[in-house]
Amino acid sequence: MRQSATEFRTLLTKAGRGVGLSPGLSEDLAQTSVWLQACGFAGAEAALDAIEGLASKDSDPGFISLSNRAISSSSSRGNLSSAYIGVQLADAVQLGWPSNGEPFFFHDLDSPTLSAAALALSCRDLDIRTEVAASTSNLHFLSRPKDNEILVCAGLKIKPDDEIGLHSLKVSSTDSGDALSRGEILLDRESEERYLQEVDAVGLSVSRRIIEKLQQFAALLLVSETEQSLKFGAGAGLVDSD
Amino acid sequence: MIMNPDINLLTKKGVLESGLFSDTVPLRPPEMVCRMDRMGAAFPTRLSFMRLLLRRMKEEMWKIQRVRFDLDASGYGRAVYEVHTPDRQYSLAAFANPLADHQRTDRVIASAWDAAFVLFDGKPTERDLERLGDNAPHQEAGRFEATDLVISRANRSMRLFEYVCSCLAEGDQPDADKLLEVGYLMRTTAVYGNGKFGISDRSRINWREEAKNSFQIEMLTVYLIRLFTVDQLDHIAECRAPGKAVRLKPELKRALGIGNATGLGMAPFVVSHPELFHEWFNARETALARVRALESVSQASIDRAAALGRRALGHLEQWHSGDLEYQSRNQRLGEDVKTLLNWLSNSSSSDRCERFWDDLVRRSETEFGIDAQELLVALLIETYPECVEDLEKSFHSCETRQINVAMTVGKFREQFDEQYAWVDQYDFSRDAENAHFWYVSENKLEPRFGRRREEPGADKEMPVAIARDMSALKTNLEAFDQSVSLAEFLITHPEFRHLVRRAQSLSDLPYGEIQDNLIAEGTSPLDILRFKLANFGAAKFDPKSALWTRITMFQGAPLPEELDGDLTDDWWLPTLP
Repeated sequence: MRQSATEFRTLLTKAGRGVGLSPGLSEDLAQTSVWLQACGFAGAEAALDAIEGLASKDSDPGFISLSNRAISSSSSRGNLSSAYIGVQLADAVQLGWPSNGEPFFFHDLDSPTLSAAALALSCRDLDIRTEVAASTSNLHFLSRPKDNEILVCAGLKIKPDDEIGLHSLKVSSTDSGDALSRGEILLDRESEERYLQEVDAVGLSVSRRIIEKLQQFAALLLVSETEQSLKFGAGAGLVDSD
Repeated sequence: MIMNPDINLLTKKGVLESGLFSDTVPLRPPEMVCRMDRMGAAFPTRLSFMRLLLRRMKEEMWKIQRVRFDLDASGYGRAVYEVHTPDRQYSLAAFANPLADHQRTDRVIASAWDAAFVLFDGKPTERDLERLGDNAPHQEAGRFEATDLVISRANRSMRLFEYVCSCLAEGDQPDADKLLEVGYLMRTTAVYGNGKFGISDRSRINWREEAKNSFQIEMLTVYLIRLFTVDQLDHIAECRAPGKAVRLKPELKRALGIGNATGLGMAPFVVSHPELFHEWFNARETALARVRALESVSQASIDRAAALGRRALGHLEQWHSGDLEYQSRNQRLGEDVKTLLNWLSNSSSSDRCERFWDDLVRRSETEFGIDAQELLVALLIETYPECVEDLEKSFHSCETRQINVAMTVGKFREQFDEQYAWVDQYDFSRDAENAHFWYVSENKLEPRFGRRREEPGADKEMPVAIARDMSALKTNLEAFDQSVSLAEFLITHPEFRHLVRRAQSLSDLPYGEIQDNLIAEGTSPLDILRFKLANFGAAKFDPKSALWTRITMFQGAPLPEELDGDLTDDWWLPTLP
């Protein structure tokens, strides 16, 4: 189903707020998801995973400590919410995280792609001078400050023992950009530009199923009709006198 | 443009270098002008978006052609108007359909209208027109494409349309007074842009010169709708009495604008686009400061200002509002304008050498009501067309909103406390400061304004209570460890994330906030509506409650065939005919 980028961003923001995300977190979730979708990835699906996780309470609406190198949810708390973790990682790069050295692993994330993209966008937009890599089970996001570029690759494992599970994310400050680029490149600066121009020209394509689900969450913000609000809430009469 | 003799400008560059428009008079401060009462007294100015559009149309010699007009004898059917700019083409597709009286309402909850419109990017094919014909009449319930830039709908004025049509069919021109009593044949009830219902994102066109400034494409749509309404009227009259009917005289056509019914939907826009809000204010206040800084004023300028003042008086006489408060305000306004005219006629040559306009503005602030103070602002800007040079390109903004979370809470507070000192005037523990909430109804997503203690839904309120929320942020910042980063604060308080982002993005934009409590007892959303509509260039506000108003757009504006004449840029507060 075709959507304008503005309309889809608005829908995502409302859906996020509908399941209890704060306006600021919803805005960030929407921004990242629209970018993913615009660039040919499953951004709408990623957003829906995060929003459904919060709606079903399978995901924990909160942040984590980034001091541990291997982070997973405790069984009593449900999954890590990417709506929160993505923003947290995106903010953390301003504080010098992750430091050079060993990678960080996040497990039990409801939408690893969303978190990875949020991190990559933050590094690029804030002009973070270190290369930061964020890898999910099937996508590798690499922020390359030298070229002001986000590179997304598929079909690559950096090390054989770095198996990344379906709900996991690996983040590292890296010098291994060249190694990443040996995978199948799905996105670079040129293709990103092309994708974004295409969105301006024709809009986004999003599955009707996802739109309808997001609309259900967004509708949680709507106030039920009452006689009072129908008659007086908008200040105008019901029939035109002009 | 008519050059003012006070300013000897040879080039555009000269405006900046001449020093005649110096910066020695400070701009009126946000705590004065970004207030609801003053916003609710705003008037259109040379910087209004309709004026910008028509100036561009004249300068670039845009051509408008009616290329299709398939209407039946009742005026139902399709029409297409093409607009040719130097670089591209736009087309307005109009679809007029029968409408039962019981379906007439100005509100968003309506589902049918007398006419629906789409501004198309380029020239629509037959297939495009078929698609638009299937969707445009359904408006919010339709789906649109990225080639569709703006959608709108309008209802006929029942007070005027049939009367004028009958007169023309009888071979008579309608009574001008009756025309002016309403001011429009049709009234739009929404003009949607920027991605709504699948139409084009603004990013598709915002790089185009003619689309950069605020609402230019929307204003073009409304201008073309105005053209359609008079063409439709002439057509129906001619069909009723072939050979006998006459066409509406050009001066009467010019006297008709397009009505608009504006409700609460406009207010959240102003709150959610604070950077743009700043630009609108900043341009107007800069223009005013330039005029106030003029050291000496010629007799010709006094005469021009007096002529505009007399025109404003005439406009007031033709401004009909059923609202008792507006009637009373406009009466006072008229008295103040007469006083202003006396000041102008009694000014001595020595007065005029000592920053006369600055003196006049100061005097108005102590002796005039707020309406006349704001009218004087618009009048002075109108008197000096050059004062808006280089300002009229600023009505767009970059809304990049990355948060700098690396700064400490203490450092952030240094700026924040100063920036939001104005919220301290409200005590949010008082019920009166929390009397209302803004929400969206499940009924066609209509924006509404409710009473917090008496109506359900406050838990779903829209995030527009900036004063209350910034006040809460302030309290929580004070209580937090000042030495830690904002990142840490936002992990503890994610509910303030959008507010921190907002405060940071407005750190250099002093006019970005309405410095009032939008949920207080006595809040009149109408004030916000009027401010935005005045920026559009609308006039003759006719409030129907504190929540919505009718207005007229493009009344007095030149017709397409008059765009190359002197009238193009001299229709501020017009008196007609």
